[in-house]
Amino acid sequence: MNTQDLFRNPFSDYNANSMDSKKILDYWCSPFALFKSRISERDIYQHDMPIVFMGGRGTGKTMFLKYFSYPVQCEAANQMSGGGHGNTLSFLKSNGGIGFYLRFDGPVLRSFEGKGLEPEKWDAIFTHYFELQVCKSYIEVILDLVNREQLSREGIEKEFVPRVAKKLGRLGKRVKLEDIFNTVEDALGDITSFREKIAFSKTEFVPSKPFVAQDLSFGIVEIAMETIPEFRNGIKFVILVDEYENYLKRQQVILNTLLKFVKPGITFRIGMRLEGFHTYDTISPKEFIKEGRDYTRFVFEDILVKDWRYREFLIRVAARRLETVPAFKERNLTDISRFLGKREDLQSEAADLVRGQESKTRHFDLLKHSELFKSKLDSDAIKKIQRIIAKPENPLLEVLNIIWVARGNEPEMTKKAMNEYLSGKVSSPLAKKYHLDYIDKYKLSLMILLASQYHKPKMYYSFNTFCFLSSGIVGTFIELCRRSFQYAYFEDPDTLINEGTIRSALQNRAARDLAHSELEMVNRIQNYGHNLYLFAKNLGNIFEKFQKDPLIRYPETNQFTVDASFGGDLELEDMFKTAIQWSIIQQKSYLQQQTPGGPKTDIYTLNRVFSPMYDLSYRTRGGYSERFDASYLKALMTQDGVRLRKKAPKRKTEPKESLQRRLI
Amino acid sequence: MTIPPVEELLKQIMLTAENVWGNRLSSKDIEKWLSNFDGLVFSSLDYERQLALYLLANFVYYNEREVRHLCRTLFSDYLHFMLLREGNGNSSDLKSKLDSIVTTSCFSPLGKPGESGALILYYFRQENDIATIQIPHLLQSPAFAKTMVYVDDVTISGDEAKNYLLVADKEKTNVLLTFVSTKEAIQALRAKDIQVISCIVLDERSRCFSDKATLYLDFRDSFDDCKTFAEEYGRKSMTYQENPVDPFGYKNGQYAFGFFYNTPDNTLPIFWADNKNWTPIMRRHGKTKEVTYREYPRFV
Amino acid sequence: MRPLNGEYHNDVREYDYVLVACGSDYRAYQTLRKSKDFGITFKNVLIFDFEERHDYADAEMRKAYQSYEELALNIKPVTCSIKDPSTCVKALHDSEPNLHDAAAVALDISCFTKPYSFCILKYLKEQAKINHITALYTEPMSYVFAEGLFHSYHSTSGPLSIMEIPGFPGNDIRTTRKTLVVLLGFDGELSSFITDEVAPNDTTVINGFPAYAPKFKDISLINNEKLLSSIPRESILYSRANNPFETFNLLEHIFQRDSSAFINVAPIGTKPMALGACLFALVHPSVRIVYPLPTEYANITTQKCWYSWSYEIPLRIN
Repeated sequence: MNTQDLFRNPFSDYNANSMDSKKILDYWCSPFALFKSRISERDIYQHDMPIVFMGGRGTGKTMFLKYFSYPVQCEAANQMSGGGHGNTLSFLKSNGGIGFYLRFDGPVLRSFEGKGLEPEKWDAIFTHYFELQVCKSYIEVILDLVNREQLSREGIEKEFVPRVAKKLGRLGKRVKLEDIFNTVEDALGDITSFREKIAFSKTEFVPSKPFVAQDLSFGIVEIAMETIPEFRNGIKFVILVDEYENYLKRQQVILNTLLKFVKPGITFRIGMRLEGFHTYDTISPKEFIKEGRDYTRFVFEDILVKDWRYREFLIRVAARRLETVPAFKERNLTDISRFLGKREDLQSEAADLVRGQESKTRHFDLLKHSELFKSKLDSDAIKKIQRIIAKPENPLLEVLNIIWVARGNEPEMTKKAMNEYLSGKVSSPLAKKYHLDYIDKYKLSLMILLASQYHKPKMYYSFNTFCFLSSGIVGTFIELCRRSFQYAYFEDPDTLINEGTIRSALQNRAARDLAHSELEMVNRIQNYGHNLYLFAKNLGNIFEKFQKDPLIRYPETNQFTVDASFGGDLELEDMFKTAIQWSIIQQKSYLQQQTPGGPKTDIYTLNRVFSPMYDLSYRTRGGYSERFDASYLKALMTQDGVRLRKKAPKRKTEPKESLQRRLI
Repeated sequence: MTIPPVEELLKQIMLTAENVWGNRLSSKDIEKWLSNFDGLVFSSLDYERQLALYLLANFVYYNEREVRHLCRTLFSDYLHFMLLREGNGNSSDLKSKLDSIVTTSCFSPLGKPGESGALILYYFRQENDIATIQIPHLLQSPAFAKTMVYVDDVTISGDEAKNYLLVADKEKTNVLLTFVSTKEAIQALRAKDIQVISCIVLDERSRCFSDKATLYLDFRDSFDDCKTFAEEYGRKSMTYQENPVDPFGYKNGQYAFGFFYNTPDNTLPIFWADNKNWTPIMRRHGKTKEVTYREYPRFV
Repeated sequence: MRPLNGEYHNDVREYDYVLVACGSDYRAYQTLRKSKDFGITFKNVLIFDFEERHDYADAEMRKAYQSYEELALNIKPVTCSIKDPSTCVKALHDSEPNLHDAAAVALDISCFTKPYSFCILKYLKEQAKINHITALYTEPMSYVFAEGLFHSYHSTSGPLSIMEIPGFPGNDIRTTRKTLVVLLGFDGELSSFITDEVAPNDTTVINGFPAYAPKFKDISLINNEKLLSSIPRESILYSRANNPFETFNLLEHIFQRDSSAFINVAPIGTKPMALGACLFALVHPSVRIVYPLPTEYANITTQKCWYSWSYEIPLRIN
């Protein structure tokens, strides 16, 4: 069997929905360290208040919720006990609860409306449906525990079953647990049958026994706690509701009510997209749910991309996947940062870019943009400066030197600063300033600027870059890796498999591909898809102008603020929230100053996955943020090709007359 | 509109290689093949590269799973044909009619053992659970068989089939099952009392340089250049080729398809020619008709 | 299935009704135009005139759309919305009561959207109590690929909403897993959206092969590569692109192989394959049909006409 037989793309299959319990455990990497002790694994079961987990597509919400569900915890118990069932119930008790995973897809939820039936009737039918589904999940688990001999069938059928049967309207003696299950299934079947018939004919839904909110979702739990001794102390019923954003507004009202009035022994864990709440109302007009009072919220994307824990998390996630491929496991190639390279090598990138050009000094034309010289520099003057500040083996330093001169520093002083920095003269204030500018502040900007001067795109590669591009979304990181491996396997399989590295050019191609693909997908989003598409495009174009500012006045600017009132335009507000919901833009977790010294406000960034399309920095620096008022925001979301409305505030430079006189 | 740029074509080829060609082609293989195109026709190497990649991106390759599916499809089509021929009957006797058709059919490869028909018959037998008793030795015509069914992969002109089936038993119904054929081949063989059933009947759309070629529906501007390119390099590729064919393929085929086990010579030679002057991208194993000189290793 | 190619050997078929969708695509009225050549006659033509389609900005397209008026046939337009097949089909009961007594009904599926074809067939079977229909279909000569790149094909534009086709909600009771069967089309974005929404435990894809033209079988695979990369190779199955019965057989095989699964079918491939899926869902009501409903369909996705086919579809199968 040759090497290539042992290869498959380790990042191919990543949808948690298609993973069985064993695979979920295989791929599970605990994210709790990332929540910085605000929540622990035990809290998922034990915390009384409902918890809402928010995050964009691919952040791992489904994986997270499924991990805590009964089937996966059973598998975990099995693995711990070496295959026996003996410890399942005690394992669940040690967790403190049982997770009941519920997910209804969009098509099903959307079928509970229209077709000539009044909304109120659909509300009642949906409530009945939801109650039955929750009840079904409870009975399934209890039945499974009985079959695993963790609960006594005799005991269950003596008390629990008759009471539940009565609640369900199931008559007859010697009712078994399986009969209860069948009754619930049959009732659900009646609803499906109704949904089929109402499409083509007028028909009424008349169930044999209708259920209202809490009847079964809370009622069955009460019965279980009263009649099943094993459930009396220390086991909570945790209802894990995934993809809450799929629920229609009226359906969320029903579930919000359950959240608000949840009873002891039961709690909810809700997974949803950002801005996934279509309403905070409950069925009582005066009551609504409020964060902090009725639920706690965690945002997956709040994970600061700079946080080293996120990087560690991604390395662990990737390692799990790489280990499943024999070609890599055998060679001990399971560190993704090795495949991608830890960080960019901007110096080499710059040198390679310039080396391949006919004219290797085009970037010195940047001097012409200086306010100081006001386009009076001719080629001789530029050459004069060039002779002083040139460093051909490091074009990035050359660009920094150009910026220094353009900002009013003498060329000779600039050269001195550079030389002192290069010789490691740590005590020199000049060298310190130079070091600060080069390493901490401007290096990435210098590269972007250099590339633009030669009309070449910036390259996006390395583990560090991919971490940033993923914008806190694990799914995006995995997709970047998938595409990189795909290209690498086609272009250079030997290097991929034997050396465990992927060329930066291939990674760059993957990043660009994904950026384009993600933008195309935005257009297909159900609500406001085209508006979000225009918004992303316009933002990209606007920030591109900032990034390519010849004087790097506001380096790496890619964040903005908005008028929080949206000018009273509800549709605009809705579009904006949808943009957040789909992670087209991301809100920074803390209020920040829009400009240095300005008031604090919400700051937003364009999802960094789009950075390769517009040569944007993948980082977000503090400092300047563009502000969009309501009318401009509307234009960005409804028109194509919207230009930057005004220039960024100019950086103050003191005109150095002596320098001007000497050089012009 | 002109043909897509090289980068896009390479991406398309990469996805095709991954999803259809079983990753049997890598970028290195493509580069080796592209080195064949050295500016002979157009002075711009980049342009020749682009033309070559466009043709490669439109090559149709049938992998093993697809070939197995074609075997199942052929058998199903054969049963359908025979039912129609013998009258459908009502549903109650449909099963017995089908059983009767199957049990009175014998299956044989078209051509000699060692040719593609024999390989196809192997897959055909496996996929359709044909009993070995229904596969007689060559040239045998068992008494129980009412229908002799010959199996092969491609018949474009029908010439080879006609030659091989000269010895077919005229007392029986003779049916030729092929993956790929043309209307011309079907008509030519029908005239010889051989019924042809094919999964894929190629028409003018599939010939790379016909007026109806789908390859150039959007790129009429590039049609002439591409044709000249394929013709000139086709001629070059045949210079040192054993058993050379027309620059556009055997009998001016102009096709661009192949199977995982071989590439037919009706396909453009620039894909499959293999000699000191040419590196193939879709290998063809030609037939050596006579015993020739061969070299042997030191140890036998 | 029978090719409509002029070789009908004096066996002229007469239909009381034919249901046709209006469209600017040349295939829309091909069977009406060539009915004599094909050996078929229609007493009544019900032509579905979609509000969203008959106001094309392009004059040529508008002219093509209305060209049915030039045909010397007994044509009755039925005005409806492309987004709401359920309402339109329900209205047929009152507007066309004679449909119930028709001896021979044909449905030209060439330019109906799939939700419409599905709803019409369900209506004909269950409300009109019709046992058998003839489906007519004209293949395109080719498809439109912007910039000549396969992945640039889009059949729809703008936002998508994944829906259950009305009347086909399926039934998931007593099932343990959710299986999605995607009949692959050229538009890869659709399969990604559907998979995200339906979130199945298992996915099987059916590629149309042999396809209308040889290369098409690759295009659907290339354009759906993201979906394909997440499923095992054995989950890629094949069914002839222009044969609904093969698709039906294959779906039955999947259904029988996996009897504990809730089968969801997404018929985003060819229309004949979708026809096979519809027939399958009519026979097995526990199967759900999901489909991506766009805000807009792309105006031009195909080029010219190629072969035409007729399929005898039994609506009741035991």
